[in-house]
Amino acid sequence: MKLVLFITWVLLLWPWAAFAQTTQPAISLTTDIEDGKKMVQASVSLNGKPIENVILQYFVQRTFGNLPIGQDTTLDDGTSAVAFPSDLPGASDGKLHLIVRIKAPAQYSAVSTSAAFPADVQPAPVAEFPRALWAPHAPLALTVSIFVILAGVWLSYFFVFSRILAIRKGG
Amino acid sequence: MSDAKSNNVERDMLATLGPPGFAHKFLVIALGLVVAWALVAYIHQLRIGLAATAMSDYFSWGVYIVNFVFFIGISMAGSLISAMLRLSNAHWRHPISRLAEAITVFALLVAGPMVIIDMGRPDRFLHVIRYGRLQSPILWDMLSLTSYLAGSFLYLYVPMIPDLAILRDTPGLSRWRQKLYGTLAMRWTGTPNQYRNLDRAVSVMAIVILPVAVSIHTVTAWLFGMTLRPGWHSTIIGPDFVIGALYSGVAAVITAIVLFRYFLRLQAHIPVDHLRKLAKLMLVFGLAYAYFVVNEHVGAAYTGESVERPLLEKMISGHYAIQFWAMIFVGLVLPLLMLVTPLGRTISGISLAALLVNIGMWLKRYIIVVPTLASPFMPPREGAHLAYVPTWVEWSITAGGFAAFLLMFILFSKVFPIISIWEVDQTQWPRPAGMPAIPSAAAAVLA
Repeated sequence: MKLVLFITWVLLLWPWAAFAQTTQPAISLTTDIEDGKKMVQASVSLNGKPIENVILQYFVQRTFGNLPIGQDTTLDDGTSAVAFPSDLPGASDGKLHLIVRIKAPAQYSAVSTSAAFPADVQPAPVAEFPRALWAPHAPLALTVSIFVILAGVWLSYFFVFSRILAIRKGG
Repeated sequence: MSDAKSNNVERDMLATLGPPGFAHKFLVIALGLVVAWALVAYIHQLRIGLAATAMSDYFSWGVYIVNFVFFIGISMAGSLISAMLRLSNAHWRHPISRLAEAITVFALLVAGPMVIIDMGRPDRFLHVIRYGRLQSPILWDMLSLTSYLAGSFLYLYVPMIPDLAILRDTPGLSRWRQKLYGTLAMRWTGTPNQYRNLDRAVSVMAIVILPVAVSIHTVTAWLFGMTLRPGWHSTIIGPDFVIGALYSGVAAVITAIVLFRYFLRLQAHIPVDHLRKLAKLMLVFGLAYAYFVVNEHVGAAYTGESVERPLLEKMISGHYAIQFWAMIFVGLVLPLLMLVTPLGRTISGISLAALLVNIGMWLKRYIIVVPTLASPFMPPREGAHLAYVPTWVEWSITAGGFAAFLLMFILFSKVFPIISIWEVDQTQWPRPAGMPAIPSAAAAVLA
């Protein structure tokens, strides 16, 4: 019985697993220093073997789309590289979200990968609350002005009230 | 009471507090019915919400806010007539100052609820207190309005203390009146110290109430001016509202004086000359306001700015032309022309001019509120006309507001003397030897 189950597993699942492994190349992303320059390096492999002459497009994810930063063709070791975009500010987490997509050959063109690396330019800190009506506190100058004016007015009223009480006491 | 005139003031004031005549009863009942009808309309609005009004997502404000700004405007009367004239030692103000101070209080008592009515759900007013934000002009307005109302109550009450003492000492009054006047008179007997404290209190109030009054009109203007909408976001809107309030405030005082002078037969105590002086004040403020109105529109007309120009065209030749030109002619041109002619020196001419100013200034507030709301940055479709036609509920509540204002005035005049007896007749409470007859405000504060 066990033998029958094993044979069934081999016959049904193994070919599909083998097919999946052989049709999807893997892309890995790293950063490296070449000749003193920071680079983004992508390695393309299929079943653990590097693929040569694959054209890769590099992008950085931005708010309203992906910004192209370069294109390169893999060498015989399956690697390609473009300059790291050191002048781009990172996202709110301080990182650049890089995307690499295969442009050619056509049978791999749907393959892409992404990875996040610390940006060289950190984004300007965004205030938790902008200067708006829903901000938790009014500007200090405004708060002080309002309280000073109100204090002046109401202290005057209290003075007048004290004079009324003085009249009641006969002067 | 040393002379005939003195006797007349006290006697005539006491006569106004006597049993109500037919006209008084009729007015009270008629006005009470209008107020009751307004309450019915308001209950209807509470039941079905603001759908009972013509307000919508585009017209978040309507005639309720028009009424609010109008009544805030005429509340300037008390500050102007009483405080400004007191500080400038204009003694002719004595017979009319209390009327002016009462206008301020009653106008504010009508103006405040208009905002709550406009909110649709009155319970949300508590949110302004619980969650109010100091950076919001709405909270500034609430703080300013409550301060102005409290100050106006004080400013109405304090100069009335010697008169309340006269009434307390008047024999033959009913028990409740004796109790009321006795409590409010603060044991006034006219001693030097009491006079000193009274002069100080009145003078401090006269000084403080003016900036508070300017603040309420300015902050009300900022409710519009701090909004980035054409017609509202203007640097002159603050002073524009202040001058408009002075103009409509004087007109309201004149109207009230003419009515009370006639119905309470006060001709001997409020001579025509007083009305002529007020008419001159109204003329000056009217000319100043005309200058502001020109300034308000000439920039948009000359530059043709894309958001301002269409609004101006709506007012000059478009959908709001009737209201705009009615405001110009009824509120400015006709009354100002009347005031510079001999007609402006007669009681009927001055009264008519003041009435026209009141109507014109209500229209002006309508022109401020509605056309701008009808000009949104994102209309439902390009060129679409957004119509705002107040419903019967809004008109009923508006009529109720005006009726309540008049009703409070009439009831007040039956309980308290509408003319300051002790200031007109300075023999009632003779000032102690060595005290100036009427000290200047600064002298009284520093004394």
